Amino acid sequence: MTGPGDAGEPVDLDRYRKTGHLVLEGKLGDEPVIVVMTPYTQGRMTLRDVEATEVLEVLAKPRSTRGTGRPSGRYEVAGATDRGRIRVVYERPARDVVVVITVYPESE
Amino acid sequence: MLSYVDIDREHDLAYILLRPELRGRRGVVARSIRVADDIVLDLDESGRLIGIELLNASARLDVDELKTASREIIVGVKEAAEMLGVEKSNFVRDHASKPDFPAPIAELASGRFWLRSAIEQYAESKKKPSTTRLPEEGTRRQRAHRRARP
Repeated sequence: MTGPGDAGEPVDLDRYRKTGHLVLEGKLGDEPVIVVMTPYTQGRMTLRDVEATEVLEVLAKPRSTRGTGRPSGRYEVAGATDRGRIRVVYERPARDVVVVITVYPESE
Repeated sequence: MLSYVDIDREHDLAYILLRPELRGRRGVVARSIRVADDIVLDLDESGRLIGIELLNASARLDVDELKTASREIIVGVKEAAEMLGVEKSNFVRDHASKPDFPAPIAELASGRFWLRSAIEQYAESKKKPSTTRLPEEGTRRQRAHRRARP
């Protein structure tokens, strides 16, 4: 379990682990967070050849390089990795949890 | 035309893989293009469309379509023409160029693509009973009857 989410509910990391989510330690900017990648996201990462390490790298970019918040609690961040630029779409069910809901490479 | 559909209901996402044989294969997408705030298209190395991601799926598809993953959701010119009962060659002139025809969700070198539900809605709106002309089938029957008479 970790801190309460937007609705005040604690986030159950075990539930994520048991349902095929990838649960990793990472950073959002310079804040330490738990990064969760859904099974759906993992499917997109496979087809689009994006590695989990690249997602973590982009999430950890300094705050000034991140995109604006999106409606309905979604956020996006784009950044360059060694293999090109990728965009990460995520939600934050708790202050210290980032759930990556999709990822795609951005054309130059 | 398709398909395999991957749905994330919790986050309201859907991915329509137009070539199901590519499912689970790494790196088949050469390029992704965000064509709208909530639509990402995946293209292969030849620039052919292989996948469509809807980032706000429930706004683009009805719930029944989400449930029936095997159903064709995206249609091209050929399928849309068939749905409207016209020849592909007349489809643009008679329908696609009209202002009330649904906007395509993608326009690529390989053609235009629409949501099936949008074409169905359009087809339904065109099903108004005609008072000025006999139905086509009746006309053919009458002609056949006339031909059969000695």
